[in-house]
Amino acid sequence: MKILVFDIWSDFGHFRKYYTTSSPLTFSFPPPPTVAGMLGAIIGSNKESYLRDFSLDNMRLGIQLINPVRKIRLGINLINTKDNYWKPVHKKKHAPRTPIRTEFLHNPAFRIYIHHQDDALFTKLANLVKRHYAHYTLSMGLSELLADFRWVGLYEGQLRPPNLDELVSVIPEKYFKGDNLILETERRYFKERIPVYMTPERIVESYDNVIWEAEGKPLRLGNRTKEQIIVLENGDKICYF
Amino acid sequence: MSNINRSEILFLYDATDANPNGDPIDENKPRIDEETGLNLVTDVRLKRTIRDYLYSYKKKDIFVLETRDKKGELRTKEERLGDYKNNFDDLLIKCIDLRLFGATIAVKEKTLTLTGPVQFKFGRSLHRVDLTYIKGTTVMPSKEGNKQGTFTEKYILPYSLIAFYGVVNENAANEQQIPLTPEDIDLMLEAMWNGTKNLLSGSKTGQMPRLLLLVEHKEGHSHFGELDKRIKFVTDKDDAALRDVSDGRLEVDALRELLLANKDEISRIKIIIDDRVNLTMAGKKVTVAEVFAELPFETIKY
Repeated sequence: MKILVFDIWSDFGHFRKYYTTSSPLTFSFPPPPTVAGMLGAIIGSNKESYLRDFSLDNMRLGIQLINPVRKIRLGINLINTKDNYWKPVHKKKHAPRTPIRTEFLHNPAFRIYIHHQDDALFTKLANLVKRHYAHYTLSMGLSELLADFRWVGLYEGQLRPPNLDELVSVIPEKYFKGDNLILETERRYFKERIPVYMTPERIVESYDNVIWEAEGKPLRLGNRTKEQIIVLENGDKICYF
Repeated sequence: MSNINRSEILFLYDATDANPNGDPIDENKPRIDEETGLNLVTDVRLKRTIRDYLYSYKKKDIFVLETRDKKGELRTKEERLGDYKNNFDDLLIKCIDLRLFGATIAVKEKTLTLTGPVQFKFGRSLHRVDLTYIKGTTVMPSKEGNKQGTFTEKYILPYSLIAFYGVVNENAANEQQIPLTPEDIDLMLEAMWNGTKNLLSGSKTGQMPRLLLLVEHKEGHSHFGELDKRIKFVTDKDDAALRDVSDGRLEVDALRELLLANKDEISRIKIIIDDRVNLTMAGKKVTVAEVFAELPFETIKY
């Protein structure tokens, strides 16, 4: 199967964690529904259709951390809409604005691996990425966090039977048994619970725990991994959602 | 259908002994990325500058604006919408800021969500900045009975040269039926240049626009991206000792390289540069005409 590989990066990123409303924290990488939105931005799927076009039902998606995960916090002045109204003046206990400490990813960069069942859509996407053409302006989670992208290649990929493997992508925990991750020295392992499957009605149907290494280094898995691995012709192995 | 093309904007301005953008939850200190020591300015600060200039100097309708009623009280979003008879189409035709930056408006069962065709990312200084704490005194006591004024304090940056990068996306305008025009973009550019100079507050006086570049692409072509990463501000001094734009030079080699390599995709370039900026290529001082030679450029003046 053909795998399209490209990089996205920006100065800052913010992918809000679903359980943080008033003190927004960010995921360390874009969850699959967010990547669907990015692919939609490149190809020009609108807000109603991108989750259908790039659903995990019809594509295989791998995400690799390229830069180390760094997070910073900035105070952002938001309009205060508490009590369902906005007055741009201080009135009783209602301030016009509300400063919110917001967490951002610093210099995020990710490598995206994608295979899509729809040949026409996949070819179109690959051509646009190669031409560096984005239908809508690509951003890293929020409109003001403009992102750029770069063609890496179109590779042949093979599904790989379970084996002892070093994977470059982040890995959903459900695809291997807990003691199957081979911990190495001088690496820092993290686990994050992210939304994985979102319906076109924007309802999240499944969440997964995903494992990643703080500097984006590969993860080594033992041989009890389920079949969810693709090996590319350049030798890189990824686990897909 | 608006007749605009994909365009990229690079805007450089500097602040001298000023606070380009205070952080409300950090004692209103200038925003600084602690990891790199670079000064940050949010996109909404720049948009405020643009809106205020277009409203005050160009008499344009601006939606996101603090307006007051007869009693001198600020008016609500609902009252603002009433000014336009709650008609969203009318709003878009009248208010230039909605056409440029979009809006999310939700009042009384009416909602309008528009993604702005023009998006800026956060501005970043091209060098590390120094943070200075200024203590002052007031001459008027705050309460009756007090014999003296009190102390004031503020944080400023002695110098910061900030680069903003933005993209104009024609698809976002066309597909949301936003009647954005080339004149709107021109007005926005003027507002960036003149508005930055015209901010009359203690914290923003001392700001000067230094370079404004618009690269318009031919129809069907996408933006190059990251024009802000193609220029460098180089100085022989320590970054924290910078005090003026003439203390360094602006290297534009990579920018020219990019534009020249893709010149078939470019329909036109608009440029305005402050004459105190030292433009250099291959280490030598150059003029605007030399930088954009063989490219379809025009210089603009405000």
